[in-house]
Amino acid sequence: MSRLWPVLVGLVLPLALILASALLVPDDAPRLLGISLANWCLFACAPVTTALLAVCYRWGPRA
Amino acid sequence: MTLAVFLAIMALSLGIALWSRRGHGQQGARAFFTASGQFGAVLFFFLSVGETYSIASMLGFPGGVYDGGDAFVLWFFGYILLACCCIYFLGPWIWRAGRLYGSATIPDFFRDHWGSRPLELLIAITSIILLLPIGTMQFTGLRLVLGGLAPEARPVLLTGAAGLLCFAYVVIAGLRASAFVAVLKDLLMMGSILLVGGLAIADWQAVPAVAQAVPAPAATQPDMVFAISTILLQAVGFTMIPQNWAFLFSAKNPQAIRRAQVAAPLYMLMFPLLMATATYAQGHGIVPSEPDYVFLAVAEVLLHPAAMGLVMAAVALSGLVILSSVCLAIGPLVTRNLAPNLGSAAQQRWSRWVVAAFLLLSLLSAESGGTLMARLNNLFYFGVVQTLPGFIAALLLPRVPVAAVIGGIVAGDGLVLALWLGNVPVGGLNLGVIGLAANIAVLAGVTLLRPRNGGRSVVSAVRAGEA
Repeated sequence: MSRLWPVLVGLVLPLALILASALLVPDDAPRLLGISLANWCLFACAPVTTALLAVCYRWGPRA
Repeated sequence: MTLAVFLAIMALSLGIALWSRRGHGQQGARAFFTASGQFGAVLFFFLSVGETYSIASMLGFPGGVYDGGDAFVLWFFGYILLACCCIYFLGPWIWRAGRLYGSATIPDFFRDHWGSRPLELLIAITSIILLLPIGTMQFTGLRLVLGGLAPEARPVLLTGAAGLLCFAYVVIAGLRASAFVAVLKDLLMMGSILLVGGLAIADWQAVPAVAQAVPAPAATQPDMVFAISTILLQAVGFTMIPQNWAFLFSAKNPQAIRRAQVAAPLYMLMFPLLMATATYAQGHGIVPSEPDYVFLAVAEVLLHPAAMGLVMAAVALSGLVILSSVCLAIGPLVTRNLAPNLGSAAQQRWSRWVVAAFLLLSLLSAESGGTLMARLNNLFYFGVVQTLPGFIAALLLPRVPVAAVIGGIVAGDGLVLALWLGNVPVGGLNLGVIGLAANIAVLAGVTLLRPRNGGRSVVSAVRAGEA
């Protein structure tokens, strides 16, 4: 488990977030700047992924 | 004014390329093609994002939103984001594998790990075939930008000048020039997108929307089977792109790769701005000459001509940086792998001819419409990902024989090609996934029947302290 958690945090979790943004956000949610809420959630995955990779870098095993 | 600013930035890029070679006048072939081990995290970051976001990202993404709605955004954004994670985990091992054998290309590594010339040739030839359309795609985008800049000039002269500039980058300092020009390109690209996107958002309510000349496409739902399979396939396939191996080899150490990949997703915050630019055009009656010109059409409306020159230069550089790195990937594939036994100096000398021929072919293909290349471009990720099972086997599984790797690649490529040419329905699944499954099945089957004796894995070799 100690070697597996970085893969879960840095790879599986970002994938889950990407899929959640597509599957869980309702279709009829309002748009902002012409962009759907699902796509805003998708774009928000980028800074979250940076934070997750930073956790892996800081506390995970060295490359 | 626009043209003057544009030309000044192009001249600056050439100056940066010349400056990048200081202290590195006499480079060996590996250093020339991969800047081996010379770049820290910051320069590596710029090179990696420079290689990722091409003219297609800057023009094609908003063009796709403008033209066809947002169904493609999920898989397009999703795979690039997940690719950052894949490079974070696999990149350090690709770096170590290259260091272990002194590789400059993917075929170098496979040849040396399995001691197989046929495997080297197979991967070199398929890589070249897959890389050829990228040049055409970049020249097609450059033609659009340069045509907007000087509509009265003959397009072939403009793209020819762009090709010469790219050739100059390559000849001057190899991958070092690409990396340093990528810094300029990325600063201009981010600045342009922030400027145009920011002004569009600021102007959103200030200018009342006019009657729409082009009705905005209705919101479209992505095909989830296709989207998920494409995200997964292209994210892992991204790690096997030939020019990406070259930029991974350029890192000073594996930690530099990881530090750069931690920051890489932040660069993707440009996508909402690009998308807002496309929806701004739809809502404000801006009609581009063709969908891919929508970002530049909005910039023309919102910006001063001098700032427009900056934006045009950013778009042109985004094409030229990718083009130069593809040149630097194709050159050694020919001079190191197709024609082996050339010395270091001869590799560099012959690579220049190969690069010149590649640029000329790409330019002519773009001028003729590039139909064949556009079709071949669809195969890019289907093909590049087929080396992944072999690479994972090299990392971890010493009993996998070379016949299994060759059989897997041939089966994967062959099945994808047959399905693609035959238009066989596969339930929305990305064809590359089917090819990859066939590849893995063949690799596993042949290994079970004829396991290799006396092999070693890259991981065990690295742990034994050989790299």
